[in-house]
Amino acid sequence: MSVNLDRRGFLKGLAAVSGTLAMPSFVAAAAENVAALAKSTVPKYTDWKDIFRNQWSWDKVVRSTHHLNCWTQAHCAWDVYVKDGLVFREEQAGEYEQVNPELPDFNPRGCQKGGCFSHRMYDDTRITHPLRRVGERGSGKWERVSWEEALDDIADAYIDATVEEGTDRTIWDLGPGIDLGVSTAAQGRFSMLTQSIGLDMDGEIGDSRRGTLETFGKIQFERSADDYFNSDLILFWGGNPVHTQIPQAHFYIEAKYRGAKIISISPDLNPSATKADLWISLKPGTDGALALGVCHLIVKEGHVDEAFVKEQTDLPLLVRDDTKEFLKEADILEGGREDFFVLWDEASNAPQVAPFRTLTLGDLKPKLDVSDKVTLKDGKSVKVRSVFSMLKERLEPYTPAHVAKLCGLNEKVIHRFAKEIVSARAVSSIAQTTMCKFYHGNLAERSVALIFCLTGNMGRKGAGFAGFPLLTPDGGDKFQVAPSLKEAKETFAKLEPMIAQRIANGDTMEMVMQDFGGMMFQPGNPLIRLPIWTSGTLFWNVHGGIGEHSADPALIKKWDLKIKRPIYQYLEESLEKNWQPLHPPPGRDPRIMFCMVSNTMRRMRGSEKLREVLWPKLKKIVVFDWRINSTGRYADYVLPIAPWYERTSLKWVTPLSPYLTTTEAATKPMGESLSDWGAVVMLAKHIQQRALARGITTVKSPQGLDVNLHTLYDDLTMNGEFKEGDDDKVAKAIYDLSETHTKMTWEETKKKGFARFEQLPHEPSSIGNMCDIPENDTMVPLTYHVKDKVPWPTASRRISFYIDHPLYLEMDEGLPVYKEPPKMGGDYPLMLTGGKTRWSIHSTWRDSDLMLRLHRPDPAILMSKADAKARDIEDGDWVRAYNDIGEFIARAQVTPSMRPGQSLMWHAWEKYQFPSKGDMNSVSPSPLNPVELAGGHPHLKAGILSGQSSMYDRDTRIEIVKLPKGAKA
Amino acid sequence: MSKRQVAMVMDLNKCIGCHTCSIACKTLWTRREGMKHMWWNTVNTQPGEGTPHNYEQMGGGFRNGEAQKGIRPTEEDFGVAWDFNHDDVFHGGDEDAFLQANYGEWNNGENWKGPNWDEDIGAGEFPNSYYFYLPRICNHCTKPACLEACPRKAIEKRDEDGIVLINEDRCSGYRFCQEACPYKKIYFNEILGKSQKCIFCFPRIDEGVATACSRQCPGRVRFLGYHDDPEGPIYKLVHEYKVALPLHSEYGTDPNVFYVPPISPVKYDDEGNPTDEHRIPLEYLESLFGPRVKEVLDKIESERKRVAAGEESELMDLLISRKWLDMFGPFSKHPRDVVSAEPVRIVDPAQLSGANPVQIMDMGDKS
Repeated sequence: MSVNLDRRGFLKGLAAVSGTLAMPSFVAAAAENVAALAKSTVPKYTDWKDIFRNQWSWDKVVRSTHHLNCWTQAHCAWDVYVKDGLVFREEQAGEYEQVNPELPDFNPRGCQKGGCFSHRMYDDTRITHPLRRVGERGSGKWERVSWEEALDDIADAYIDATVEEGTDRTIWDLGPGIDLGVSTAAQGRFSMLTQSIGLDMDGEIGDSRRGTLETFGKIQFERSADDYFNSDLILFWGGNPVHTQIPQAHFYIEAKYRGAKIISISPDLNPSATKADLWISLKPGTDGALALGVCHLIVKEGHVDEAFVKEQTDLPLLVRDDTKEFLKEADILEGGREDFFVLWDEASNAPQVAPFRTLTLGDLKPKLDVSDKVTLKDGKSVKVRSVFSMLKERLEPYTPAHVAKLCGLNEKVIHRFAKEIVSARAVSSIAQTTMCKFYHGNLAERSVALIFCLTGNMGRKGAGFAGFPLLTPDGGDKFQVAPSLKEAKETFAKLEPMIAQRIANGDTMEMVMQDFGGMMFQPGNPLIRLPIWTSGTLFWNVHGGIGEHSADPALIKKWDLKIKRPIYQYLEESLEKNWQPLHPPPGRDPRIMFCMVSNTMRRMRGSEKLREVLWPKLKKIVVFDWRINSTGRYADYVLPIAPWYERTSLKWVTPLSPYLTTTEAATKPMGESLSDWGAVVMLAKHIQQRALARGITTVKSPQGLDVNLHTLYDDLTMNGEFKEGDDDKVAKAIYDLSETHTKMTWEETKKKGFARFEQLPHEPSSIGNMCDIPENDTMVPLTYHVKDKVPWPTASRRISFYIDHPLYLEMDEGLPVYKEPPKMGGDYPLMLTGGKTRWSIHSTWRDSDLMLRLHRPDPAILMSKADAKARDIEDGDWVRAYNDIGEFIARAQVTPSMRPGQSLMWHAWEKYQFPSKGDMNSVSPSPLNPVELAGGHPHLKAGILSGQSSMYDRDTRIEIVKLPKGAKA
Repeated sequence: MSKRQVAMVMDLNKCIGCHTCSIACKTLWTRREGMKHMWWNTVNTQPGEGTPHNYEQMGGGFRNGEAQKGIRPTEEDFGVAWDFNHDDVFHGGDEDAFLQANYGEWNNGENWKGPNWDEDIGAGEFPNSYYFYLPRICNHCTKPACLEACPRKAIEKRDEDGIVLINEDRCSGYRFCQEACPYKKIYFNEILGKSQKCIFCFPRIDEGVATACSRQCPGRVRFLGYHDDPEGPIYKLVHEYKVALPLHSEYGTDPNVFYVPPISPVKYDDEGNPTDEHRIPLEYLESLFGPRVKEVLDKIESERKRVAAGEESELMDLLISRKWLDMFGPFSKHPRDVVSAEPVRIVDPAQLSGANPVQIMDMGDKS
């Protein structure tokens, strides 16, 4: 259906007009027939211009936005225009106040995708009634059923699985659309009450930022986009902001007009590189080598910011040569502490314990380059070296000549690059999540971070390595966990003694908050009942069979993974030692899967395995969405969800645009659509009803917690206080529980559509920013560490370049090192890289006719001219891409901007957009990286959105051959 | 000549090719019957064929004051607006069904090239390839070839601001305007039988609101204003600093949309060393924007250096435009604040009664 005010519709209106006004001839005929209607006064129509004027008219305007995972671009305040009860267009609100006169303001934000959601929400993909499959899964045969029928059936299946096999057999596949707002409130409460398990998909989608965690002890920190305006040198390294930061790309270009330079490092001349002053092309996956080459020059040419490094990093800390572990106070002093690290103090010319409660050095004068001996408490003498001394040695081989060979670029470029970095006052990066989609991306991130830390470019205006952007109001957790609003305070008060004790012991609030998030991965903890999360990657690997793609130990050599033991051995060790918890554990098959704000079958590398291995285990697969996405296709039920213009909510954003952005329902949900909140509440209702009807009450979770199925709805709704349809009430409750927004009421914020964050949320997924959020200035992350000397949340309480965890030492990743990208999928000549398309946010707009009309209608695979010529392929030809894992068909896009040897697919093409059975992910085996299985370590452990295994696709090797015209898929 | 002339400047350094402008125009104006293929605002990767494909070889315009022969682009030239078989894919009960555009047999079809099919391809050879984005609307020319070509005088140029409009009441669908326009910015509506094109959002302009393409651009690419307003951005960029240049001025129509040409990343020499030269060939930019390109690019780079050294630059401040609304000159009103926004309504016969008379919707005299 369409909302066009078309000529026919307008004519019906004109039919009431009497013949006395001048009208075009095509109107007169209609008017004669209904002249009788022209009794009352009616609108005037004078000429053709009034048709256009009428198009720009509306009944009401509501502030809203698009609460999906635009992530670095989230979110933008829009005005949604409603006419005749339907949304017919949107336009940016454009009302962000100027932060201060020196800075460009944030207006107008928005992008082309949000700009046509009014079209998308009503297009052919929209479903408005519950659907149940009638054929085999994936056959595409559906029947319409009522919510009652659907939910009763699902409730019974859920109860069967829970009672007969356990509470941990129900899985929530929560995708990137997770909102940490009203939608998560529903799922979070459901999971907290039923102890069903949510999948943390951050590593699984490829956003783990592993190297950042290893270095900083956290991943979540970023500056506000206007702070890039303060930068002198911006590195586009690991991200493509012209695609992925459309609303704030202007700040980076405006910075150029303010005298800043941009350097882009990318194999291909991607759209962001066209905005750079200097573009450095390197072989895909060699970023770590380039970074270490720059570090080599920084150290060699004496550009280390010693003051910064001595205070903020582990470079002065001492490491034992015999064990390769950090020297601890416990080693040299009887009764000394295991968590006190040691440095060499030049003032006393002796080893001293490094500051613990603060980073302030006081009278200590750490020596940077140490190679000496210390006496252990038992009298033995051991050689010790500072991390810096070891690092110098590690950096030696990364000369410009060597790096030039590794990266496939010119030596002079490396010198030039290093020179630009050391001569800039403030260097920043756009680092996003390209590197962590490479198998050894963690090493690349550590190496790039090293550049910033060696030069002191952290925690200052316009200066800093960019982490993973996230900023969320802190009321959501409270709403999810408290039995009722009244008890929210008490619930969290139970944690206070523990918190107080830890602070007294010298832990920071950040460390405490992070561990609070980590508690979600350890169900049954006695302190506080939480929803359960587990690593999505491990779940899909173990229960879903994805691991089978890389199980054969022979592949280690074939693909050159550079790991020492078979992957399954590392995995077993990790699970046994509870380093990386997996729920349910291996051997306990999942039975019920709810897919919400997710599209697993679209994004999963090697998803064929899921259908083969996981699908047969699942008794019910339920997809909640407003369209039948790739996952819905293989589901048992697709339940219609009302999209953002049809519901009220709030959601996380990022520091890049530090404004909470709300939706207020502009129109009623279409057909039988429900919001996520409404759907989950109704599910709980039916579970309660069916449980009572079947005489089922309480089931115990594997950890011994009571799961009360007979009161699930009562409990979830806080005894009816927040029922289905109470989205606004829930949003308000979360908003009121939050301490991040105190200046405006919920009503005021909803009307305005956005509200600037006032302070740092005390919340696991945002506290990592560790800075103030000024009202009249930019947000500069990590100032609490760099300026206020608060310790970092790492083992050594410092930015960490040495990791002494046994897995890291085994893999020679104690220090950053460069490892060549493996030949993932076989020794094929082309490396398939990727990136986020500009034409969709994940798959949400991927098959939108409007978006497809504006670029290419079929999945496109980019190739260099040289590679295409060698294969007799021309732009527009259909080709087959394949390797040992799988294959797919796409249309070639031949461009001189692609580096020979590299091919690229912009992401998120739905499975059903490929003529072949295989899709772009079918060629990526994504083996586990053993170092990510680490745990039992102060900062290398599972936490919210971090510390878990990743999935990779950027080192995939393929071959491409032309498909003859007329050939079948 | 009109009494006053509005104009637009687009800073190509800022354009990131997101097409929000195209969508802004589409959702507001071209959703009616016969308009599916219309993109009154287009964004193309340059070098490239543009929209319609190869429009620069289609003639029209003037040379030495003489009207030049031009050809009329077809819908295929503009790029057919494909329909897709979503219904088959989702509800057709065939598990092998895949999404297809209706350009013909999937592995044989010819018309798969839409308006932006050559996105991000550009020209040159690796590693010195180059591309940038060029948004285009109707230029609302001072000497419109379309206006001259119409035998029914169905094309008008507004006196108060020079906006060029096709009078849809007068247009009989001869399409000479499509032949005459050298920028090929006029579409034809097969259902209505009339030519249609960018209207410079005149309903918005009349209310003091910026054009949708300008206001909705997240890149902050577009400036609006009058040529003769010395305080406004147009005057400053076009006439005072002279960094905004017309596209293909040799077409002879005196366009009123101007472009700040793009600087670009330096290119590499044969040994793989970076040089000091921008990679987009000067000759190419000159072929689009005329002989003053080098002067403008040099000016931008020298101003950047000055600001980097701590000096002030009014030009850089103007291009930055810290206050977004400053970009739109007098057209800075908020759309929500517009008074006469109530739609013309159908009068439901069932609602007609003496007790509740329908209110007059007075459109006023806006023509």
